[in-house]
Amino acid sequence: MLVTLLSGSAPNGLNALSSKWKLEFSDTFLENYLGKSSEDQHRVEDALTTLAASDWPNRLGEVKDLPPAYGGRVIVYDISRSSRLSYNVLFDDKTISCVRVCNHQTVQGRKVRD
Amino acid sequence: MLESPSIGTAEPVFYSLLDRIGQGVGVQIWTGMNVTGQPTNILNYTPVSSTGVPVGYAPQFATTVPDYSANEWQLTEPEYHATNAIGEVWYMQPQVSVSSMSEPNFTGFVQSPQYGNFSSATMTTLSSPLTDEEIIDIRRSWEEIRAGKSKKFDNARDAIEWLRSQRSKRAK
Repeated sequence: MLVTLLSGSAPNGLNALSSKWKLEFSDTFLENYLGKSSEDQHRVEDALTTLAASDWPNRLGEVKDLPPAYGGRVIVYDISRSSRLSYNVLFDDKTISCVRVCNHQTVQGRKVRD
Repeated sequence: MLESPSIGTAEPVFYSLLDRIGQGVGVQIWTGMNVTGQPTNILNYTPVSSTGVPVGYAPQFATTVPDYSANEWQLTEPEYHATNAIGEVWYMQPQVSVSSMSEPNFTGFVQSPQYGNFSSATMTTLSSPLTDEEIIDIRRSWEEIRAGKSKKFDNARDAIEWLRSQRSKRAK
């Protein structure tokens, strides 16, 4: 059995974290972002800051499999109960490619209202 | 076997988790990943208020750190805590049991006053499957990126400034 204790200090703000990754936005991502509420736009920005500052941005979201023609896989990061950011991590380029921000119908196995 | 990062490099992961808890979003931390990339060990945590009373509206959540060895997380303080945007202090209190998961999905981990108890039949992952619309958009995005129709930034600050400028331009 594995027992682990987690501890540490309170965060002093994500903006203080340095950027370790480049960010890339597709046109579709930009259109999705511009169509979001102001609150969700801020959440997207916070999520991007967090991802770019992480040593392991691929581990902050949940991997979803896709057909090879669709890129093979994508990582989704829930930014709220009804919205999530889809991205992929390109290790060779040290780049996080952001492909979509969307509303999705269900979270945690139940329907939610957008 | 993936490299195990140090505590220092893992801190942003926890900042991210704490930030998301403040939004009331369920979070999982994995302690391992199998060969197909699925989480293997999942730690369960219960958010409680500063007075030790379980917080009513936030889901009980599981947190995860893939491939972080247990030894690296044997820290001195018994709790990980943070204050969210509305001044609430959140503590992560680890429960003593950790389930080893060999199945390729999450089962029966999340319980909360808000959402009720999830059984393995209703709770398989934290994030719902991709919708057809998402898949179509993702494919379109990849085609745009392959065609060079993407904007690239060296750091998050420049990227976010550009997004905000696009927001302002759209608002005009």
